[in-house]
Amino acid sequence: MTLSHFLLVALALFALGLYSVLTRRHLIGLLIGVELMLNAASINFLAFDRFVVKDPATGQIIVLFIIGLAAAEAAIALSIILSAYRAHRSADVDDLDELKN
Amino acid sequence: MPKDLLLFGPELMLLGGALLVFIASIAKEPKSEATWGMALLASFAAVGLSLLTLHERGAPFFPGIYRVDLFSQLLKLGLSALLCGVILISRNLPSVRPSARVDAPLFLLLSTVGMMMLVSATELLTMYVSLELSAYGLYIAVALSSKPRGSEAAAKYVLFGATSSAITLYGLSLVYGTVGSTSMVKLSGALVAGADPLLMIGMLLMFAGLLFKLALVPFHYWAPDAYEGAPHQMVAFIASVSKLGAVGIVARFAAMLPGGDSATLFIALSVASMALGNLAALAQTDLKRLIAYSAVAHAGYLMLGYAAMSKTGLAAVIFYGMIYGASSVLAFVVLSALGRDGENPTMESISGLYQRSPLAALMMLVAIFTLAGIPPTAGFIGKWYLFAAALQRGQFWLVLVAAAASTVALYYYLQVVKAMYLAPPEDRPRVELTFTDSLAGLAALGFVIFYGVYPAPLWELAQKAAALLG
Amino acid sequence: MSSGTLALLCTHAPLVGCFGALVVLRRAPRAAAALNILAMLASLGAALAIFAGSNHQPPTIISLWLSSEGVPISFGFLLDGTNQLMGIIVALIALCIQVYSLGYMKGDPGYARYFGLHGLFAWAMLSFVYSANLLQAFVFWELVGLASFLLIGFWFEKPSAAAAAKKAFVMTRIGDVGMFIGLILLLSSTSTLDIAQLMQASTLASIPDARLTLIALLLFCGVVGKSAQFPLHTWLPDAMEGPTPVSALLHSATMVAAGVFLYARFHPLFVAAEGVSNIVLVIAIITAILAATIAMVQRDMKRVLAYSSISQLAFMLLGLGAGSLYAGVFHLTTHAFFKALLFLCAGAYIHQIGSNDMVTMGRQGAAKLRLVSAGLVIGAAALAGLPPLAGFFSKESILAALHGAHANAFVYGAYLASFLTAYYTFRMVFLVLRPSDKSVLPAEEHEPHPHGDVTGSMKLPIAILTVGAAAAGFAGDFIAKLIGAKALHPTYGEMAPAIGIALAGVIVAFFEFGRKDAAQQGFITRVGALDTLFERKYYLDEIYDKVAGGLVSLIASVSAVVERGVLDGTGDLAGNLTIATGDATARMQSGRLQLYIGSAVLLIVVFCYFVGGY
Repeated sequence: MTLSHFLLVALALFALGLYSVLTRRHLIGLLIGVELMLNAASINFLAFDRFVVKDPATGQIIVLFIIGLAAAEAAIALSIILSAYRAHRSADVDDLDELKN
Repeated sequence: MPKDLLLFGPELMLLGGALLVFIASIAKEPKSEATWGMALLASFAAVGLSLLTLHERGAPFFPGIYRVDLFSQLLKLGLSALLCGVILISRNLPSVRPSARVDAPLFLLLSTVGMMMLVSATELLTMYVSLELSAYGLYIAVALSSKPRGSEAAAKYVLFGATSSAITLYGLSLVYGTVGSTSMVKLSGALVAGADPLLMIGMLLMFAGLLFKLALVPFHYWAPDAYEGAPHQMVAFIASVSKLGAVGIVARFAAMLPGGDSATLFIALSVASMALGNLAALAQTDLKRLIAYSAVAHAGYLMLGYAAMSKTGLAAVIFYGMIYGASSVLAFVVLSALGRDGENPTMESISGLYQRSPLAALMMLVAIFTLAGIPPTAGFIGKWYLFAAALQRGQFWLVLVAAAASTVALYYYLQVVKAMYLAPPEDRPRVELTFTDSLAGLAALGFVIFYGVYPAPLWELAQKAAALLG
Repeated sequence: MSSGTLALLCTHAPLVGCFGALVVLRRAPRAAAALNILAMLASLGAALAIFAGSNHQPPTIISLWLSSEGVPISFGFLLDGTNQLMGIIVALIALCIQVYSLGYMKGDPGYARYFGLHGLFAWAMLSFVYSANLLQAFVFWELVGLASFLLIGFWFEKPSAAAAAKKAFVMTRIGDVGMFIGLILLLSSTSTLDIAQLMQASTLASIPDARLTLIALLLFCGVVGKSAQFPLHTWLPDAMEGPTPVSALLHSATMVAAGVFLYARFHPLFVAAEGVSNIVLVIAIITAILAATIAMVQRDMKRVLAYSSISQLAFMLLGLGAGSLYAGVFHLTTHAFFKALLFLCAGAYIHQIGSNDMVTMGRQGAAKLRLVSAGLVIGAAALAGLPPLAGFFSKESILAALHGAHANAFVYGAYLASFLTAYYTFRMVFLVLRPSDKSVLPAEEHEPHPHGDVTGSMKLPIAILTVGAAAAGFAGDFIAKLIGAKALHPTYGEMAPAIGIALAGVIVAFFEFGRKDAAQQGFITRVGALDTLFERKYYLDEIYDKVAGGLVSLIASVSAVVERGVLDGTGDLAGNLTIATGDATARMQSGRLQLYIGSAVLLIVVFCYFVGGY
């Protein structure tokens, strides 16, 4: 297992996350995609920590922060999605098209 | 230790204020007047403390991670003063849903704390956490709207924002891997040492999140929707405080870049923003949406300064960021007074403003003049510095494009002036500016005119601040 | 008092008047007017004192204003001869016209506002004239434009006035953008914007030739916009929607002359820039003839005078472009007197009779206003270039300058324009003063609405300016000495054709309009096509509109995006086209979140490819 293996897995995860952000119809699907992207970054941090960086504590601390931030972000995004659902009776991303031009 | 507390004072004040507001808002019968007053006091205190620490230097609590110097304190002064202005006009929040009016100041305060930490951060993780902290408040602020389109705007804003922040984080991980540290000093050293492609890609991805805050093309899509959908005062916040914070952090990173390719990228983005923002603004009748597109164009003007890759350019950017923030507050004093019924002000509803309230019309006129860069307002001087910085680098054609773009902009700005001064008021109601509205408006107006006539003091500060970067 | 204090007093006294009228004395219109007239008196006194004491004072007073990348930009006054002369002209004419306005604007609900705006204009204009620094000059140049915008739209209840105000602002701004770039370019080439320093030969020699030409052309853009030269001239006739004294002050005597003044100020630069003077001459001759032919067929007295202003400004540029600073500045001076006079006379008729139409004026007995009519005849003779009135001498010196430059084609063009000038001027005089029973010109449909009698406060300025228009021509040598240029004394052989041509114009006008029982039908009406062409102002407004409209409908059918016309039909090409593009651009904001994210990501990928070099 070398550094590139980890990086490739992370890249794949990032790409998958981005793909679902771009293609999912449901707002929560988009949110899950974003979470995948965040996790890809976490894997990167840990991999670099393991193979490159001298001081391994930094990467681990960063990942802990990311987990915390991701949770906060998910809470906010979910509540906003909920309010959008209440207002439009739909959580389909294509139904959010009132604001344009 | 007391010294450290003082240096951290502006942030602590706002945090303390946020805590008080939070406690007051979970009381049995919360009063929006009370939370508003607390927020106002806290922001005033933050202005005072920023002034007090303006010329201090140090690294309170966390050496190497957090830096206090003229650059950070000047921006904090600007941030807290703009916050003051926004809170002054937020006494009544007709476009916020009634149950949330008590909470609104909390998000403004927290988001400003995030901005303040952002301009002081000298370490990537701190920077990222501050970026997120400032963003969360904004997402919620947009969602507070009483209209369905508010939650639509918020949903788009939060998902676009979360995606770009995930991209930023991924970029950060690449930077971390190539530099081997999260310190900006080391990053700067690595950037000077040579262009590792992985590092450059990491930097680029990281910039995505920063440019998202600045609403630069192609990361501008959220701005028109958020401006249109969000409550008036929250838009004022996004247009002033949040913009200035973004200006600060982008300046810190731009100072580290070696030039070359990055300058070319900046120029491309600048041209695209100026063109798209100004052109799309022509087609708008909703004034908040118009201001949003004008903000996109202004992000393009700011990019002129970054693309110059010089200290003068950065000083021009800091100067213009301050001026732009003040003129946004000035414009929104009038727009939120016009939108007392909770509806968005339009070309229609601003008609005949001169006869409905001469003072409001004057404020809007000055705001528009400074946005359009017409002397003797500070907007003219600010554009002058930006253009001069670009020309200093021989970017003549870029300046030509910018000048052409600002001529196009004149059409829609004058359209508003014409509606205000030349259209009949018909039976539209008078516009009442409350005492606090007038206070915020006159302060911003004085600021914009004073530095338009005598820019030297602020310009010198901006130059000194820019010299500390990089 | 030192000349610095005097200059400060001269430029800023009107600002006090403006502030007083707009803020303090809004409810006391008479006091506001009195305050502004006092302020103008102080300005004029200070301008004269500067002139009187100029021999033993340093010519520039400067203090630091702001610094840009190490280049100090100063704020100060440049008090050399050209500026002194212009300052006195502006202050004197502004004073005359404010006194005149006392009677003309009587009873207007916006009396105080009117005088306040006059103060604003005088402040900006005088500060512009005395500026020591190009950036400072530009700031006040824009403020002059703002004052003009507000004064044209003074009666903003009239939609036509509102539209005209906006058109004027936008049209002149188009030129200003060019000028602003020129200014920045000048700064980056020479590291100074100090006017006195810029005009030194060593500074000019340090700029590469091609760049100097570019700078000169860009600065000339500003001149074209402000002085209403072809192709940006269409705003000036529309600007006649403002009150007549405003037209007299801003849109003939002073503000529009600011463009020419700027050119005179930068005369060494324009001379040094290769090839620019030819472009200037071509633009000027086109404008001079074009505007004169349009003036031939107008019936609205103010519009005749407006086109005449455009044409005369072009004359000044002809003199300057031929290399003679003296000729241009001399004509600028004399023109300020006689054109202000003519406008004030027009205003008096409009006030008494209540119509802008010259035929109506004649039939309602305009000739009964003896003093005004005498002023009209003298002003017209001066404009036509009849000796020994003001316009004669200055026009002769322009022709002499053209002769001296061996620009024969331009000399003949100028002769043609002189003939047309004499013709349309006396057509105006005869239409107003000698109504004919056999006239073929139909009466106007509307009954005139008189505003009131011509008061003493209106007569006094007319009398003063009449004297000026008669006598200013003899100040040639004095002006030459003041501005430090060589006076031109044309020979009799050079003068003879010009006098003959002017007389011919007057005589043709007399036969067609002036003699007893004249048919009052211009020779041009026999050539129907030309008549229509002139009357429709060469269709330029329509062309600007049509071209814009055509392009817009083309774009509309291609992209089917144009649905909202945001701008009203102020009608110009750039406008409508830009709006259409704007609509199309706004459509890119499709409302689809995933398209937003997708396009942003796509660009990031492109950039990655770019910076990563893969």
